[in-house]
Amino acid sequence: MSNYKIHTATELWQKETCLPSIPTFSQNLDHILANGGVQLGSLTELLGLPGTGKTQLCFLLPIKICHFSLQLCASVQIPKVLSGLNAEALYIDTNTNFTPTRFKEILTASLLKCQKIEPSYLFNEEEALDRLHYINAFGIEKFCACMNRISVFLAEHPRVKLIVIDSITFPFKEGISVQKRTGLLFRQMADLQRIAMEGLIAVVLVNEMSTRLGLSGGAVVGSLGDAWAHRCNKRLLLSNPSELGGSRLALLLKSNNAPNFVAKFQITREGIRDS
Amino acid sequence: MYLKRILPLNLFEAIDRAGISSTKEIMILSILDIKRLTRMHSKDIQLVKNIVSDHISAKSFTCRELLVKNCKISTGCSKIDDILGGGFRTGTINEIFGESGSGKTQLVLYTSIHNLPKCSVYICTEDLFPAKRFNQIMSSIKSRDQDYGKNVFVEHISEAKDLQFCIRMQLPKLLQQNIVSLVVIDSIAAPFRVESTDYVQRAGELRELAIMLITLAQQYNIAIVCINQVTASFADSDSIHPALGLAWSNMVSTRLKISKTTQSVIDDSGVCKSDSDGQNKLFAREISVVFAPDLANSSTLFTITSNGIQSID
Repeated sequence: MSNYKIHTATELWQKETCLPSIPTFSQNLDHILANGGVQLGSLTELLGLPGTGKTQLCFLLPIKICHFSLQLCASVQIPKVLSGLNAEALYIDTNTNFTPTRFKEILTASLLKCQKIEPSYLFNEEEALDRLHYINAFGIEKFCACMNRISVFLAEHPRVKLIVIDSITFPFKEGISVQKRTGLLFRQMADLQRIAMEGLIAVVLVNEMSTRLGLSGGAVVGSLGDAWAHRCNKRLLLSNPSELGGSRLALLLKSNNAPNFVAKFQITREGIRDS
Repeated sequence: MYLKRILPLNLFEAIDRAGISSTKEIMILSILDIKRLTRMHSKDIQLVKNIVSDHISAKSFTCRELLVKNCKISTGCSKIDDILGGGFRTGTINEIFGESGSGKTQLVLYTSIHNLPKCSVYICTEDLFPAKRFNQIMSSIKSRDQDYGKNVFVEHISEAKDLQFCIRMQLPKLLQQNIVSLVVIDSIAAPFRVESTDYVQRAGELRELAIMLITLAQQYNIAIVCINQVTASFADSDSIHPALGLAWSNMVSTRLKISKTTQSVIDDSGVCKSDSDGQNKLFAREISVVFAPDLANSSTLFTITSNGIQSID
């Protein structure tokens, strides 16, 4: 009870507006996430069928983290798109979707783009690649061990400002019953939420879709059950409708500070762009 | 016993007396659960969990360190390798789906031949292994003077439980004794579509199988290629969907589609049937990337000849 303090709404509002968030390169996506991107200190969930772009978005967010803060030039206006957090990111891979070559492709493209906008922007690609920490947590055992050790890891790497778990459903597919799963998952999320709020770290969780069999057929819903739907502060549903050609949609299902909205974006060689 | 080695003796005895014998149980059970079973202090239980976590947990790598690993198994056809970024990715499940007769088996057969001298495992669940075709393709590769048939391990399985047994028991033994870099299952759908339609149970079996496969793939750096069948879609009568539902789709990291096109290619070298014009005509097949974490949605055309797979310029 030693850290118990009552804040006024004004203090909290000031704190919230000063919090930087992690922008993507798509203005549409930043707009629907409000505050200009993925918020630090909150849990954001990405949902979608296979192949809709969840992992691509997860690749993009650490890129913004890995940007250096700009060396200030006296008379030059620094565009917002370049502002990085000069921090590090942790990528917890549970479903073998992480490919370092694709990550490097997006990183190189975005660093080059920044240099075109602001020629005095200096970057070192090797150092940027060093800022992404990757843990292979395949299987329920390794995943639980990783979650248990996360505070130790963050103590060793205090500059981590983003944790991506791709995906949160995969470890629980085998080796654990549904009842035990709920208890374990919620305990881990409680710890993670506390860590995120205390350390002002953004957490992004990737969820999958599954078919819920009902009386009249199946509905495609997010995995992990109904209780899980309440767990995250923000939920983003990605889809890839064939009618739109190459464009994809992101629907904000739930958010505590933005209205429901749909954003259109594209996945290109350079990452994610507005369509 | 593993736990005995890593835990302090008094804590190990308390855990052991309660019947907890695996690291997995220690990680999954909550502190309260373990307390109920062993009556240990919360601090001690947390210490046990921390010790076990430190032992199991994987080391963290930076992206730069990861880039050095080689991760692709070439298909043998350079144009197809191009759209795949080098070939089939190791450590994960690659799926190829398509209608019957579109060329899926031909492609994976060609890949397993070109994988030589490394070994491949070919699990047939639909038809007999096409040995004659295998020899036909091999004989056209002039540089092969040794008997490379020894490097392809073939198994015939027709039921789901036999497939699970094979992957759980037989395959690990084989992998310990031979350097295998490719495991093909042709097809993954057949054993799961014969039995009764308890979809929930089927989904559970598929997940279990996929996790076993991926565990082996990660451990031995193997590419797993699964052939899948198709199912019709009620919504859109023209499109076809891969079989086995979302439960399987979520386990796959790379999905490719092979389809027959109506584009014909004139070929004068192969031993294919000629029509009334006297010219040999082949129909081109198209392979496209449906989704993959590192590939664009590109496609390319190829034909099936007596020498195997040939890309079309």
